[in-house]
Amino acid sequence: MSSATAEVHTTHHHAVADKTQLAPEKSLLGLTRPDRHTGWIDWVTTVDHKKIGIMYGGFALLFFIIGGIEALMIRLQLSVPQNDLITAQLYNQFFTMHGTTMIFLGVMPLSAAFFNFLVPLQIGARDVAFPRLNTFSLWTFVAGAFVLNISWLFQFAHTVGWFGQGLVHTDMAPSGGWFGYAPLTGDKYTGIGTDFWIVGLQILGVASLAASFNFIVTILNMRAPGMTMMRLPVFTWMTLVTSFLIIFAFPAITIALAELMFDRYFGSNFFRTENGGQPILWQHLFWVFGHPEVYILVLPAMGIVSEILPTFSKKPLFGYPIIVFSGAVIGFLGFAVWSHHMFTTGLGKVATAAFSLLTMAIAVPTGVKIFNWMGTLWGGRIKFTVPMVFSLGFIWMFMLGGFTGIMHSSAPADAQQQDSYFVVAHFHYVLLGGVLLGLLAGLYFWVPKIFGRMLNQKLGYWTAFLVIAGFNITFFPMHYLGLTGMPRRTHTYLGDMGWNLWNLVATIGAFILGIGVLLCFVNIVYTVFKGKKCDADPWGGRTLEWSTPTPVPAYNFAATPIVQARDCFWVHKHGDKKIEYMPDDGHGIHMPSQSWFPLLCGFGFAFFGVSMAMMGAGVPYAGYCAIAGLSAVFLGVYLWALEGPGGYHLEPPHEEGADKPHDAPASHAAH
Amino acid sequence: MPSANPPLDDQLLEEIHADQNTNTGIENKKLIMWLFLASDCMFFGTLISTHLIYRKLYPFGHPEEGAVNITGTFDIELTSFSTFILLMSSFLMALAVSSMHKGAIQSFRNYTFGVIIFGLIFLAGQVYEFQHFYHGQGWYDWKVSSNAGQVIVGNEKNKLLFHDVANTAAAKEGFGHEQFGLELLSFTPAEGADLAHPPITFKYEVELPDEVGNAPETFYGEYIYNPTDPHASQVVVLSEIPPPPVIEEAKEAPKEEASDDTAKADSGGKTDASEKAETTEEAEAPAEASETKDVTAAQEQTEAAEEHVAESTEHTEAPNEHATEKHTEDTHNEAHPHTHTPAPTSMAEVTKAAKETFKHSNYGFELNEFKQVQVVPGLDLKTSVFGSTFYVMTGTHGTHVAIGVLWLFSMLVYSYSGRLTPRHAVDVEIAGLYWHFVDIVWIVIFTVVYLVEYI
Amino acid sequence: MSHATTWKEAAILENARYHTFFNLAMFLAVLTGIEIVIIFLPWASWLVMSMLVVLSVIKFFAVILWFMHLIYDKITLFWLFLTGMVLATGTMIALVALFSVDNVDFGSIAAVGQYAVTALA
Repeated sequence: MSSATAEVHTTHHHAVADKTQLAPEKSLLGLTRPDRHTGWIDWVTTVDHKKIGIMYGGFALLFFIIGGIEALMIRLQLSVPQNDLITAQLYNQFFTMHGTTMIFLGVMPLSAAFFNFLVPLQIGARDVAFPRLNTFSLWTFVAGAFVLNISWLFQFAHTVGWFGQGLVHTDMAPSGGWFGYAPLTGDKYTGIGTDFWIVGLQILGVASLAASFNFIVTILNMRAPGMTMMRLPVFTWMTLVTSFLIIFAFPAITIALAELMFDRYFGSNFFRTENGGQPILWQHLFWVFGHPEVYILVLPAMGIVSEILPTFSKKPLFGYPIIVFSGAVIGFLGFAVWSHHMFTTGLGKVATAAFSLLTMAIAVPTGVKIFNWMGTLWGGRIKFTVPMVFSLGFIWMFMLGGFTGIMHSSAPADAQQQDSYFVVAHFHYVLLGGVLLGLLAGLYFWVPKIFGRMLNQKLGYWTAFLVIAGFNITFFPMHYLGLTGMPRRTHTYLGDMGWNLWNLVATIGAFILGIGVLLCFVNIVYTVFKGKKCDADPWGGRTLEWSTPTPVPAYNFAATPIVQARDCFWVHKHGDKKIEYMPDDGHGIHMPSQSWFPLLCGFGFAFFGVSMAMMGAGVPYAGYCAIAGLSAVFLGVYLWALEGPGGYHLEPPHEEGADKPHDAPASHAAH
Repeated sequence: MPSANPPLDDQLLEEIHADQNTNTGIENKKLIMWLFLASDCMFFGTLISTHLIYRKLYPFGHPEEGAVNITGTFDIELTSFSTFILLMSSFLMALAVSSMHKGAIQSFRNYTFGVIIFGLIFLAGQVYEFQHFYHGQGWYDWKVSSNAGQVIVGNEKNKLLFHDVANTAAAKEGFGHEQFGLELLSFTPAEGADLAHPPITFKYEVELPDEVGNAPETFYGEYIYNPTDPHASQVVVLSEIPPPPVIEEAKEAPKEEASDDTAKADSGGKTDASEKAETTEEAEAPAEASETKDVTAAQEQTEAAEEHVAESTEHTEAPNEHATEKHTEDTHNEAHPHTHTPAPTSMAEVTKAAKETFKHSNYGFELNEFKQVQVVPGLDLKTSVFGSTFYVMTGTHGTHVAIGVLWLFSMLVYSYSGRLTPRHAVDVEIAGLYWHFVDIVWIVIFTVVYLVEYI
Repeated sequence: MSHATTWKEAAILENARYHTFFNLAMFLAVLTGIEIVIIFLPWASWLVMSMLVVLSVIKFFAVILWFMHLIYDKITLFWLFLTGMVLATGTMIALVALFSVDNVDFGSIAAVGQYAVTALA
């Protein structure tokens, strides 16, 4: 709970069982707090980490589909040589948007969905440290996603002749790659597509930073009594490391984007070669962010897998302290290897050797984790539930991706692989085979807790099969394609290079993968509304979130748990240390008040983003609109600071045992 | 509305301590602020790295020498002053936080006010500094002369008048608008000047500032002002410095000067001189002018100066002058269409209007030469890499300071309205942390950007 | 604040800190003055550079530890901030070092850029 709230409690009444029973209360600004509502007002003003998590997840799944369609367009274009399905510029836009969408609008928000829903539950807290900041992160993310994707609308409008006919550059959607190398993304070579990209990413950066600050404070400061750092679930640990990575990596891209923005809008010379700007500076600044970013993507998935493997092996995680430590080391070393993306840029012998060695070094803690996961499985009573299948797939596929990563770490070898499809194969193995499988595992594992309904397991197995098979069919051939010289980011290829067959195979694989993913999403959507209900602990969970009832009440825990061991819920069920609870002090449970202002900030950012791109297009008064948008953001923040944290009290139900964990033996598997 | 300044009792202390009942013993707000500052280190670190990289690559601040003159641009005294200001503001901020921790609200307000003022001084210094950097510096040689033959030449001392503009055209413009550094000492209606009988004669005294070289200090003469067509007014210089040349030469001299007056086309005031120069019929004009001059005092000097006057009062022109005159009028018409001002109703009004047009005529002087002899180029975001990195870095820092000032100002206001009390000492503390961070970033920027240039 | 248990104690504590702050402010002013002076002295540039760096680091830590209270706070905060500092400084040093290599002619990149602008425009 946020601190410094005492002074406004003088106006509070008795605790209520349900917040719709609250009397309307005015904030310190004299405006009515949106605390009592249900329906859409409740959702857009909520500060409840669980609802925020669900919304993050919903948006993430939407953008996975959009990113997936972009990918299928790429594969369709490349299915046959010299295809003219789409123009080169459109192709560039598709691969740019596919990458940007998948990373920033797909994986990161889905991870955020898990962080949001699970972390407070796993540490025994009622919410995050700064609930309104959490809401701010969500709506700012939505604004950034909006700004990025509205560019497609402008591209369409341009193509049909409604917009921007007089502009020199005809790209309205980003086309410079997800890494946006300057000076290609300077004003000489690209148009407002790049403006959308720059501003969209900046907004997304703000969202990520805010969320990360929030989670670090939450994890460090709001753990239940007895929940020491070394008793934290590994997922929470990985959330902590990821959050640190975000707060230290994002400033680099913020600056890089700001410098590029100054170049484009105000004519500065950061990347303007004719005045001395150095393109390589962009590459350095971007990858100083970009490399930690890929660890930001993968560590949460590793955390998820570290929860699932013990659960379905019925064994504690092997080498917990080592896994935690390895995660931290990966995070730290992740800042030291960025130039391995630049081995072919002429860094010089010393730099190349240094980064090469450090990259090899970072494989060590990763390998340690894999060994520990194997150790977890070894000797366990393994149950091949859907989450377990995905997790096992993760270990295997991520390892393959890791092997090709090690191959890249050798600079001479990388000289051949750089900018070829070998790299595409590598990172799709780690991202799809690693991150996606991990996230899907998490979905199948935790959807029962989030929605109280079990995902259809049969569909789940089919999804796993189609996704794993499909993605292997798509990306395994790319290793060969890359080593025989097929370059990346080219919209077509000649028919006599020997690449035709495997490109076609890859396209077919992509569609299989797409079907698998679609099946998964159909499963989720159906389940959320009509799925089979399940009990609070369908898997025999080990950690605190499974000890809550399903659906999880607004206040998470009726009484704060006192933790006595690692995997405390498992120990509570099967061991000798029961979870005890803090005594009820009769005041009810203090809940944070909801707020409109984070939403206002989101609108402000969206308005700002689109205005900036319009300014790039020469639309009159767009600059003033941009300023207005930013002012709305500042106003939102200011008012939110002034309205005061507020708060109200909820009375948990008093039936004996209703909010306490089951004492039942290890639960049967669902379905 | 919370009560203003709750009593400093144990209950308040308990509430404050309760905020520290976190796992780490650190309040949430304080922890998040420290995390933010750690992240901001990376933010500024990246910016400073960019600057350092480009400094290392381009010792001249740009691939080509000459685009930037770094130590020439910098004003280390001002920047050092700003640094001390920020340092002292940091001190006051620490005291403000300290006051709040012991519940001394009034001290808090005083110190916070001090921090805000110092912050504003720092920002003002930045703005002033940036303006000057942007305009660069230029030193110019110049020569100004009147149709009476008085010549003033720029020298070491008065070059300083235009040292803050690196752009010759802009400097020249500014020089013109400053009336070549001349100052009007007095401007009064002559005896017998009568509203009912235009034109009206005024007496004036114009002075050169002390530092100006070889010319004597004060010029005086008459300004014959035509209220209905101010641009047709004329200046009669009466003071003799140097001794007036022979009459015949004087008649030729103005014509030659006409070709030099390229800068005059758009300045209304200066067209008086060009008009004067255009006239070929001085013989008639002095005769006409003398009609009006009869009214003035200092008869001897008037006689002597008659010949120096080149004028083009509309209603005194002879027909065969029309060709040249018309041309003149046309050129000055384009720039300044005939302004038929309403008939003045008081001498004060006329004096004021006359003074304006007299000023615009640069008191009868014209600029003959204006040449740049030394320059420190203006520092611009667009023209050099150094400019880009410098402005973005110090601008970002300045933005952080501005946000800090706004934050502190809010806190100050709320400490009066009762919203900010010792209960909220942590809020003050985190504002203090932010402010101190901004100070230490400046410490780094000052050293790495300014000081190292002088080594 | 975490150490005082009554307002009286808090007052005593904070008043003692006044002197610390004042002395520190003077100390920082003096160090800044020294920095400004040494850059104009005819010493070897590496020496002046090193002194500037050392003095800046001293000022930096002085502000952090005393003005920003870290020395009076929990050690966690110190390590958190130091992590950020180390990462930032390390990245800065690495970046500058990467651009100090001999085998890349950064100047010719600008020349190519100039050419691109003039000849190909």
